[in-house]
Amino acid sequence: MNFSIEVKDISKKYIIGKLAHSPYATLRETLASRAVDLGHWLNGKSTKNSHQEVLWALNDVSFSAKPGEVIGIVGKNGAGKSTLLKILSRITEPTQGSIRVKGRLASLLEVGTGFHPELTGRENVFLNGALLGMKREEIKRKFDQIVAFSQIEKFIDTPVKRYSSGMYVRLAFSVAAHLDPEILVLDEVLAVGDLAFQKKCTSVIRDVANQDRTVLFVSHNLQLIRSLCTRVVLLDHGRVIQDGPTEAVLPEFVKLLQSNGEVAENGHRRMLGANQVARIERVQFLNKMGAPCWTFDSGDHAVLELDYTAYQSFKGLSLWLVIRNPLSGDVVTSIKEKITDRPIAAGQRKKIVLEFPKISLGPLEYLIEVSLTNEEGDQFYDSLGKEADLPLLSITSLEKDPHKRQGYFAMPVSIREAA
Amino acid sequence: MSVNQASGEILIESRVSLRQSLKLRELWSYRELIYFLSLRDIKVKYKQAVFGVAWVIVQPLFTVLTYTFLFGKVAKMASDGIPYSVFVFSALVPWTYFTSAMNKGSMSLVGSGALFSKVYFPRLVIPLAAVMSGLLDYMISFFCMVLVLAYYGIYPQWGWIVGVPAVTLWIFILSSGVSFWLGALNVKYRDVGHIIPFIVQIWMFTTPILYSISVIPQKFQMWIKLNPMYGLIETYRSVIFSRPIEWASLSVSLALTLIILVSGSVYFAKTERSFADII
Repeated sequence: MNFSIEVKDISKKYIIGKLAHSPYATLRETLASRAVDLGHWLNGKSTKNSHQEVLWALNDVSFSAKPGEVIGIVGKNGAGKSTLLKILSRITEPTQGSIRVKGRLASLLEVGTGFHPELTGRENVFLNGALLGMKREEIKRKFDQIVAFSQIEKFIDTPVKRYSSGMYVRLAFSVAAHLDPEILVLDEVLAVGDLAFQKKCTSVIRDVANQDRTVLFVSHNLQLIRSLCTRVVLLDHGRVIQDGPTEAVLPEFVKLLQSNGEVAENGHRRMLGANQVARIERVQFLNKMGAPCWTFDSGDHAVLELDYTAYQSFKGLSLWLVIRNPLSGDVVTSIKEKITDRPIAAGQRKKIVLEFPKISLGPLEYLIEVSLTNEEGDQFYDSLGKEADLPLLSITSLEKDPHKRQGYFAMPVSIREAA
Repeated sequence: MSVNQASGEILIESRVSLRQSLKLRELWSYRELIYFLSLRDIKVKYKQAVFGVAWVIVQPLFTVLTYTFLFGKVAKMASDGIPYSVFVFSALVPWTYFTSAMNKGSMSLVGSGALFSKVYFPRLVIPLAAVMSGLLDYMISFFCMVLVLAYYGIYPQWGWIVGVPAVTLWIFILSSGVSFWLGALNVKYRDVGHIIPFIVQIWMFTTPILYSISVIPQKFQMWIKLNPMYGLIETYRSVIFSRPIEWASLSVSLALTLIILVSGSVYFAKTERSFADII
């Protein structure tokens, strides 16, 4: 069979628990635990896994990719996407299974790995290129193209610490874009940089695919996946649960995201720590039938419900809702309103309901951030940011022509021809 | 981002044999990365220092002056009939390279954690680049020593052309081997970082740098000679002062160096694959 990557029954085990707090052991700990093990052994007890918890980040993952395919890998946070990319990039080894790779594989898990702030752009291009596996001759040959692509000719001999973040990313990506791999593996690197930069990235991906090469990439950006990928592999809890054409798998993924608005216990658990006054338990959009739903047509009626539990007694409550572009982080719109000025007793569970008669957002995906604060809005009770893994609010358009309404805002309009 | 150099087919698996994990051919194909990384270390070191190279000259000179005063003048150490300052200098130059290479090599892996989790390359590249980047400082202090020697009427000899690079190469190999061991251990047990200065200190006093082996009682000499640096430092000195080389102790040193290099590479190869997970 003609494949460029063949992933066969890959599993990856991580040992968490005690190790999760300090990934590297100290000699003393190792000696101490050896002593404990010895004690157990003398007493005839099993020493295995006495204080270890095992996490299977990947579980029997199999799929193969053919030249010319652009495959999107999607899944919720913690589904195993990054682990899969790390194994493909040979950064970490699988616990079980094997992968066959035919051809030069380039993986871009981060833009500008190994860039040193003290070195000039020119020096960093050579260093970064060598790190990525290019020969010096090859870098020399492509140097002018790399610089031209990054559009920072004037600053190429300036230390990169003086670069703006945009220039830095542009230069770093140009090096990566000139690798000419047969297989390209990308993590969510396209989420950085401005719009023009993102366009460049997508055009590089398209070029690679058009030359009958393989692209594998992880993204949360459904729009991007829809426009680039021919095939999507959906991961959940380390397993492949769907693998097929983009149109078939993406709706499954959206459904998975929307299965409930329950806020995961760990993962994002916020910076508030001991000062957490309340906990947001659930955030859920409902459609006009009252059914849970995170996809709306522009102009639909929508309801947002938020459940919270008061951990401590407090007086007065405000809600802060921010809707952002998940790619750029730009605030699309925000709502900050006082909910009550009455005291709320510890242990109470309450619900806040927001009703949007017409959701007038443009057809895109949006990131929802919610915070509960005191009345003045200067003390945060609880806050769910982008790490909270809430589903993206997806607005679709009934229009066939995607250019009919563009942007963040769907403005109500009536148009007539005046004589 | 990383590109695997082989254009053929590669296989990613969990349990690979030792020969596969050593990947010497792959290491060779990444030799330019070693060069670029050591170039980076050197450039970064001198870019921010106002006096730059001056430090490399001043530091050994002052060390030699201090030792000459303390051990040569005050304690009146025997130095085999050679002026004490050049006696010390001729051993301190290779010794300083050895310790700084070993130090940097052992600490380099932990300092490169960010690279390990984002890019694939043979991890041996990191300690090798660190050991290599010390060579420039070494050469500068070597020329310093040549000037001081000339002051005492000792001029460069033909024998240096072969002898000095040869011993330097062996010191390079020894410090790489030690760095593979300590560097890999340090990833797993951060205590190693605290132990290194201690090792360096003990090692220095058990190597005849400040003293001549002749001051050591006969029955202890054998133990000193089991130190792999002994033969290398002694040979270096013999080359500089055109004295006969003690082939027996040199052979012991070379054999021990090879044992450390091979065992270090094997230990490194065994632990390397878990670096990204634990660093």
